[in-house]
Amino acid sequence: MALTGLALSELFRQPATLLLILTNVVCTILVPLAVSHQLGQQTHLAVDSSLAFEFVFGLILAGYAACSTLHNEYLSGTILTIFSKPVGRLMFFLAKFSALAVLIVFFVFCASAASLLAERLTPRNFEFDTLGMRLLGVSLFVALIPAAIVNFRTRRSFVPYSLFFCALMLAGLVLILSTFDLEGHRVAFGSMINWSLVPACLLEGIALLLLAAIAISLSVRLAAPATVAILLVLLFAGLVSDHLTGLLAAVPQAGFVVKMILPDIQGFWPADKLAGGGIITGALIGHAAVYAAAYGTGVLCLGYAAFRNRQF
Amino acid sequence: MGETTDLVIEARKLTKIFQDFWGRPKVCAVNEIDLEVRRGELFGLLGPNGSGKSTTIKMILGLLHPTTGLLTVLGQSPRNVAVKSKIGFMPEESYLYKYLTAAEILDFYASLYGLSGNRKKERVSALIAQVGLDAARNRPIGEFSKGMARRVGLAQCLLNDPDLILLDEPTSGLDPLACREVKDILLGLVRRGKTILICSHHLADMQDICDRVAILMNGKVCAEGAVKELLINPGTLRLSLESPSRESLSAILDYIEKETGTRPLVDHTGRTLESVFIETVKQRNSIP
Repeated sequence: MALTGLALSELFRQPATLLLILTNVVCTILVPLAVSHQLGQQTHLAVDSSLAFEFVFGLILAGYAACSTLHNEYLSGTILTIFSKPVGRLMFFLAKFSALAVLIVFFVFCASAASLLAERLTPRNFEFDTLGMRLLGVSLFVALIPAAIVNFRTRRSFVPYSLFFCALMLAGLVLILSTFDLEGHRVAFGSMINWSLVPACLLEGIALLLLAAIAISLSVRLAAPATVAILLVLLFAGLVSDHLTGLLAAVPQAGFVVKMILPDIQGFWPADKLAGGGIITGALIGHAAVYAAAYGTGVLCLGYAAFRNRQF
Repeated sequence: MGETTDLVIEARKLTKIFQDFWGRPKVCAVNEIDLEVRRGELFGLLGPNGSGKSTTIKMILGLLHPTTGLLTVLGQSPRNVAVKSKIGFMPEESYLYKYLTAAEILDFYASLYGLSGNRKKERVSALIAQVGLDAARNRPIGEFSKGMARRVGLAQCLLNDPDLILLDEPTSGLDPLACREVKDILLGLVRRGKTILICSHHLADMQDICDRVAILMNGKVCAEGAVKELLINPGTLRLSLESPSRESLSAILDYIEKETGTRPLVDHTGRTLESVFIETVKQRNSIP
C-alpha cells in the first residue's frame, strides 16, 4: 500500500503527466473548431478524432509513466534503498503497475469528459455552442488558479492539484452543459450530451490498461523512448493484426502465432462500432475486459520474470 | 558451534563476475573472497575505487547474486526477503525521493518495515532528533545539503533497530562535527550489540572506530585483521612522558642510548586536526 501510494504521488507530480493530460484535453476540445467548416459528418469527425487522441496520448502517457515509475528507480538508485528493506519483488512490481493503472483510469476520466464536451461543442448547421465555448475557455484557466494558490501558500507541488482541479472542472462542465441547450435554456438532464461515448471511452480505457501492462513490463529493461516506440509499433500492428493474419493465410501456424502475440487492438477501437449509429454493448465491453485481463496477466508474468532476477 | 552462530556474515570463496549482453565474462569484481563478520563487531571494508567493496555489500543485501561461492547473512541466504527486516543499509549516495520531506520519507520507509500508528511516529521523531534534523524535518530532501541528506540516509537505515547495519561511505560529505556525531552513534550501536559493516575511503575514521578491517584490492582480500594488530609496527615502541624537566629528559635519553646503542627521537605528542576542529567549534558555540 505504501509503495503504491508513493508511486502514485510520484506519477501525479510529474510535469509530463500534466502536460500530456492537458494536451489531450485541449486537442480534443479544439476539434469542434477545426470541423466548423462543414467538411461533412462533423460529429463523426469530432468523435473519431477525440477517440484517436485518447488512444495516442494515453499510450504515450502509459509508456512514459511506466518508465518514470519503474525504470527511473534504477537510474536514481532509490531501488537500492527499497530492496534493502523487506520488500518482495512481486509486491514492488505489482505496486508500480497498480499506480500506473490508477493514473490511466484518471486519464480516461479526463479524456472521456473532454470527448463528451467535444461532441456537444461540435457545430451543427453552423450553430455554434457559444455557451459551452465560453464556459470551457474560462474554466481551463480557472482550474489552474486554485492549484497555483495552494502552491504559493503551502509550497505543495502544483502538478497534482492542477490535475485534480482540471478533472473537477471537466466533470462539472459536463454536468452543467448536460442541463442547458445551445441557447442556454434549461433542458432535461443529460439530453444535450451523447452518453453513448462513455462506453466507447471505457473500451479504450481497457485497451490503455492493457498497454500499461505491456509498458510496465518493458520498462523493467528499457528506458522511456524505447518503451514508447515499441508501444506505438504494437498499437499499429495490433490495429492491422487481422490484415497481417490474412497475409499469412498460406502459413496458418504463422498466422496463429501472430494473432496470439499481437494485442488485438482492433477489438478495442470503438469508432468503427459507433459509425452509423452503432452502440457499444455491455457484452462487448465484458468480452474486451476478459481479453485484456488474460493478455495483461500474461504480459505482467513475463515482465515479472524479467524483473525477478534483475540485479542492481 | 557457539562461534558459528556468532557469525553474522559469512562468505566463502565468494565471486562475482559481471557479464556482457551475450553472457561472456566482462569483469571479475569480487574474486573468491572469504569474509567473517561476527556479532557485535564494527568491521571495515577498505580498498581503492573498483576494488569490489560496493559489489560485496550489494551481494550481502541480495541486490546482486554471487556467480559462485557461499554467502550467508544472519544465517540465511541474502535473497531471503525476511532477513532484510533485521538489516539496515545506508547506500553510498543518498538515494532518496527528493520531493518528500525528511519526515515523509522516514514515514514511508517505516511503513515498509511494517511499522504503523504511534510506534511509527515515535520512531520517526526519535531518529530525526538523533541525527539532528529536527529543524528541517518538514523540508523537502531536494533542498538539503549533501551532509543533511546523509543524515536522513543514516536515520532510514536505523528505522527497524536492525541487528546488522551496512554502511557505504557513511561519513562522506559530513563536516567534522557531524562526522564525530555519526561515529559516536555507530559506537553506541555497537555497545548495544549491533553488528556494523562499513565501506569507506576515510581511513582515519575507520581507524577511529573499527574493531577489524579487511583491505580489498582487485576483488581479493589482501589483508584482514584487528585494527590494533594491523597498526602495530613491530620492533618500535613509543614512550610518553608528561612535562619532564630538561635535565631528567636528557638523563633518560642518555640512558636509553647507552642501553640500546641508538638515541631515540623526541617529539611533542600530536593532536589530530579533528580534535582541534571539534574543540574550536564547541568553544565558539559556547560563547553567547
